[in-house]
Amino acid sequence: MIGSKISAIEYYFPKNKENNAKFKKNNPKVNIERIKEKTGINNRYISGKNETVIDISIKAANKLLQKFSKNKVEFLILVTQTSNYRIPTSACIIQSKLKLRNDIIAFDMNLGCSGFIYALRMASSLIESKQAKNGIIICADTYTKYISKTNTACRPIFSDAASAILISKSTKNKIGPFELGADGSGADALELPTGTNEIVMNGAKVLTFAMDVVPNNVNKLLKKIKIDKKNIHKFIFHQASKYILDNINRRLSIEKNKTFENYGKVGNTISASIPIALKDAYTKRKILVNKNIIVAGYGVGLSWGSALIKWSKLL
Amino acid sequence: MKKKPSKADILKIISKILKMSPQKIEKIDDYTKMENWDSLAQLDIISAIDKKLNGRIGKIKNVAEIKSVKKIISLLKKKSLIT
Repeated sequence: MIGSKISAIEYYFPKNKENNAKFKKNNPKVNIERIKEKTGINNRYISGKNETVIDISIKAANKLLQKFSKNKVEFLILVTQTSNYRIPTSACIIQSKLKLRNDIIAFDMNLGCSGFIYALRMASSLIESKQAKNGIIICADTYTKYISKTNTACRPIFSDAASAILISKSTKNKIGPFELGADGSGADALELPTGTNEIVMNGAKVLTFAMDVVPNNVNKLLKKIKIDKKNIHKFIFHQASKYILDNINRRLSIEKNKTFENYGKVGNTISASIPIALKDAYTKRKILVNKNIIVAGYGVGLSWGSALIKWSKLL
Repeated sequence: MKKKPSKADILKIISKILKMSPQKIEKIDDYTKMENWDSLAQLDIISAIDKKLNGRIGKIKNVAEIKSVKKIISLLKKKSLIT
């Protein structure tokens, strides 16, 4: 059997932090306690004025490449929606800056909070179809460059970060099956309208989408893999906010000890959030080797996906 | 079998979140005109009604856009989600 596994995860946060007290200073009329009660988020990371998606991606990837030879990296998938380049492809720039080999498959993927699952699908396919043995997914975004300090819907939630994930061939473990989906009719739930520089979010639309689609998607996956919910070791979902995760968990009747959440300290880091949560959960021994994990991402697009991962030891 | 919620149950949920009497809520109808309504209250309304309906609020198309008490009650009735 040729399977694939997550062999290493590293992440990077920009140095600037914004907590709720700082947000309150810029928005004195806002009831920040009420917002905190709903989002569960107290800290966000804000990229510096000249700090780009490429910069933070390289920082995360360099941490990963301290543990793994760059000569063995055969593909590079960059998941981002906020690169400073539209043309050329940012993954190519990162390939060059990291001095990765030239016979590499490198491309960008324009997806938000579901992006890690989609990239994982592509990565495992490349490995299982014997086109590569090792590759890197980088999930990085700097949404805060498009969220002003007074954007009360988005500023208390979104956070900048990059995560780098090494995917390798495995004869024991497997990533998948997957369940992916999309519905562009809900595109206006979260968007950067053309010609503007401000992300707009309709929180109620995002909530109803997540509350409805994610449990259905996860149940579909559970049915496909024929594993009972109680035999899943951990459910690690995109760290959108407390409100959204509480509603998804309620709908799925998932016990608290089967979930892992870290949004409170790091905010909603878009596509980087699931890898960051996986790494934190692994470091805290909340996820164990050879156990079945279900990951699910959902958001802008609208777009969503879930996957089963038989967990492996990380480098 | 759990009893199907009633119109009164829905009005009670909305009135609790918006801190107004069910009668007043029904009279004003448009949530956005109520003093305690804001985008967070809208999230609370959707989530609380979904809990009451055992996770079936998704049966109502574009529920996030509905800002009228009458409309939500009528749609819930139409889908036989309430009595």
